[in-house]
Amino acid sequence: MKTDRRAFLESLAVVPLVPVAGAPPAAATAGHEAVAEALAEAVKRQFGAHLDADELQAVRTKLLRNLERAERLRKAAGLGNADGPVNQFEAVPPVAKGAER
Amino acid sequence: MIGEEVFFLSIREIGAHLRAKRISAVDLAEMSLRRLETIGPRLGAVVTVTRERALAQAHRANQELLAGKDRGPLHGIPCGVKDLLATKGIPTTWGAEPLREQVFDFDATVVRRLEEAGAVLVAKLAMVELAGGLGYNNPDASFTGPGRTPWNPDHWSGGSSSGSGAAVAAGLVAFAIGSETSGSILSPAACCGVTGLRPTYGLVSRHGAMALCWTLDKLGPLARSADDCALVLAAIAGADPEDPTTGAVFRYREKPVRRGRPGQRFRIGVLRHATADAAPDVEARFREALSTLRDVADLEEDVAFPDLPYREAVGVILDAEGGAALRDLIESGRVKQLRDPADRVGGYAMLMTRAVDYVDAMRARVAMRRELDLLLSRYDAVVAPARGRLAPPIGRDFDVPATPAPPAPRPPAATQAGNLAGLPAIAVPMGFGRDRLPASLQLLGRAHSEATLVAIATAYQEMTDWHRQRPPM
Repeated sequence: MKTDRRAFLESLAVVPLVPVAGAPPAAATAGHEAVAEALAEAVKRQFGAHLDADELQAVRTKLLRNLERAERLRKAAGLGNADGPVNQFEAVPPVAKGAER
Repeated sequence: MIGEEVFFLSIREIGAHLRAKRISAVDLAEMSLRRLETIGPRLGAVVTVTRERALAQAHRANQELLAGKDRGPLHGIPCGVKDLLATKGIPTTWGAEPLREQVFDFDATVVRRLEEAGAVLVAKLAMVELAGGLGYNNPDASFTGPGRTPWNPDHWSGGSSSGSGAAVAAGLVAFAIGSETSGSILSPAACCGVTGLRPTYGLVSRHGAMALCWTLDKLGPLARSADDCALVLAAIAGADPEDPTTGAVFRYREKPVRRGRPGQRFRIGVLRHATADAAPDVEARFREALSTLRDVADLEEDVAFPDLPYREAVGVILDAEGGAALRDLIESGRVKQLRDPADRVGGYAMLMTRAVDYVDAMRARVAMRRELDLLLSRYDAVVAPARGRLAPPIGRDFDVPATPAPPAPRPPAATQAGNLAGLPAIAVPMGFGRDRLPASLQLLGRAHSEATLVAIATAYQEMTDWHRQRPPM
């Protein structure tokens, strides 16, 4: 099973020399496998006509990696309740704001 | 009589020949078109040669110059744009087989601004299919075939702005426009030995450009020098009602380059572990570049880069936004027509990205932006190699390392971090490694510090001639 470029680069970046705080525990990884399997099943049901068995396996592998990546992100970012996202919704649309000036 | 060597001159030098009537804009366009048609295919650099439009623009440029109307430094200069920018009536393929017949009925804002600046559009340039958004794993990821660096066509041109890098390096055009979501200007600039400038997010309108990630996509120039890049950026930057992220302007004023006088030297941070994963020849060129920069800058070594999950955040955001942007193509199954096997399946996993993971990535960007600005406020720029490795060979998957990676500290993810925080960066050639493959230096600065980055890069290029060397075509 091959990895794609993005996943490969990410894996290079995150392989620690020693165990680090924030690395997903084994139980979390096992949980990810179950979720990846469920998501892969969703892909199969929705898009199975476009994918053969090998391709579905590739999707399943990528889904697992993506879940692990998201876990690493969450642990490393240390986000708290008040930490909002970078893009905030604005009630006034850009064109209207321009008209006010 | 001026020959095709003119394409290895700077934009200012070509412009001087035009204004002195030693060459005409039509002659320039004809030579460029000929080179694109003969050399371009060997490099996998060209999608469409825009002959009719180019000659019409070139004739107009000639007539205007004769009538005393000068549109500025790009007047009459042949250029190409990455084939993700809409051009009225000319195919815009996004590098993807299923979109080979796609034609828009308008010009992208950048294309229109180049025309208003007098530039002559000679080609739509090759690119990695869908700007690499579906996770390609091989240089051969475009219906035009693999992009090849003119320095050694057995090796990759970098991507996803592959044709933009190769066409400038091979002297097919004087400059080109590329796009970057996470490295797609810096990578081809590095692999092709040209100068690439990634502008601050929101400085250049994306109207008419293929959207991959609305919060990451940027358009910028690849050219022979930092000065050339700045001239192009000045023409394409600025507010556009069609792209609400725009607003800032970039006014390029050639300033005297700061030299050795106390208080007037640049201040540059050298990132800790900058060469941790670098090939030995890249590390050697980097050390030489630092030595050169010491003539005009105070260098602080071993500068710590904020340790934050940049690679993970870029991946999540790219999957979520890219999945939405390309959803129709993925859901329809037309991605099966793509060249790279990884691109045929990557989109399906992207569609399953969880909303909470995307929001977490966007939350993490707040701290990333803050920490990076705090770091960069202490310097005019921080430096690292643009790529730790030289261009990989054509035919080898990216996930097959050339040599087993030795245990090492993690290098700073300067490219991913800079993109997440919307920061400008410039990549300049710093010499060559094995097999005559170029190595490149990356300067990363605060938001809207393009003029400073250009000044440092120009000072470096005044002390070196890497940017003036010509590939053995």
